[in-house]
Amino acid sequence: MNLATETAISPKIHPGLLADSLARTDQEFWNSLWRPRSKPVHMGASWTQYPKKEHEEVSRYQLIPIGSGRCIVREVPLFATMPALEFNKVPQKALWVTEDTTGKYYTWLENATVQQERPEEIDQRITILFEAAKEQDFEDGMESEFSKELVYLIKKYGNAAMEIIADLIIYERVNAEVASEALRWLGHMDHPMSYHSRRWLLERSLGCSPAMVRDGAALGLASMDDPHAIPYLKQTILRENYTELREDMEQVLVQLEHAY
Amino acid sequence: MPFILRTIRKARWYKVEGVSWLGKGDLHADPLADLNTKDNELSVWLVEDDRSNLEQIVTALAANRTHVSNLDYALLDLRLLSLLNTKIQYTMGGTPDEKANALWHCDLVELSALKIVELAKMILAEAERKRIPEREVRQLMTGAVASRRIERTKLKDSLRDKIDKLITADTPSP
Repeated sequence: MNLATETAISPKIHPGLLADSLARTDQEFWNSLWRPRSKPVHMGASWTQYPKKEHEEVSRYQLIPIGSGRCIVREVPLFATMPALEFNKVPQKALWVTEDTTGKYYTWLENATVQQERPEEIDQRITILFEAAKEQDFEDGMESEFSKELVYLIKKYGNAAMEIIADLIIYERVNAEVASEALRWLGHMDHPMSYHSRRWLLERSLGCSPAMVRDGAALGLASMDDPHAIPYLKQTILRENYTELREDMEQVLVQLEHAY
Repeated sequence: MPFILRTIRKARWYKVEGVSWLGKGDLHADPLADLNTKDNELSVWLVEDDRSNLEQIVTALAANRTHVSNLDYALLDLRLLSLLNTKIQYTMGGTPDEKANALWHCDLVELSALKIVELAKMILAEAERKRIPEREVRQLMTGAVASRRIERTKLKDSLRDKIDKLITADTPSP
């Protein structure tokens, strides 16, 4: 099937949210993704929202935006009351992701197709950057070659760069210490255009399995000082096994609760 | 009894239990990244037993960075360190706080690889590991610069710019 020829996004799945999906994580969006478990996911089906009392009979699908127009769709278990907060309980296996070899990415979600272009060089640069950083020593509060390049690439390529970074970190394809360092700088850097996507990634990274990555995410969120992260932190604290990390997260939570 | 203070990254020191590849009494290797020596010496700070100089030391360390950030440290009772038979030498610190550099900086000297590992085990088992949040570090820094305990000209450019902005923002307009 040539996905590139498919039609535009179905209005039922919030085209605006898809176009800017990294920035949109509100409950309304997730609620819109309820659909019957019995109904197979296939092209042409439509998303259906079911009343909450029918939760037992339905399954929820989560769109994980990893790029403008590039999403992964994942089935979310029924225990997940807020899928965005249950990241590490969900198998990290996407139902599908489509892409071709030319650097153009396609996503099909039910009867929708989104096509976006992304320069191949960004992919390579960011992947190499993260790989090379494994050899670097990181110190809190100190710039490194890695952090300088990371900030530069985000400022230059904006959300296109963020998509790739999100992909690397959320799917744990990079060294935990490097991911943690990246998250600290994502929270620290000043770049309003990528603010929502950075915050989105920090909130989701609280669910990553390496404790070091969760710590980096919490530190990044502390730098941002944005109360938006409060529910995510609260959920993470509830299930955090490392006492020291939990205490550090509680410290961040107190800070955010007193922000502004 | 005083303490020695060493800056660390707390996440490297989380106690990992039930790691199949780690032998009994062994230590995972990540914490060693916080104990990098130069000429077999390790830079540490001496904290008074009543911790009266702790804040000043932490501020001095934060002032030696390029950016305002959280500051993690480990605090180990000096008595415990003596069990390792480690020599301590007073030396000048390299932070922008001259008083702290002169009074409280020292090096653990003649360190062997085994001693470093023992020290890491001791820090893991016995030390207090604390985090000063970024927001608090910011307050400490602006306070120290505003009161001229730390000369702003001694700060690295990026940090100086940030602190200048913070002080300006805090200053009520006439």
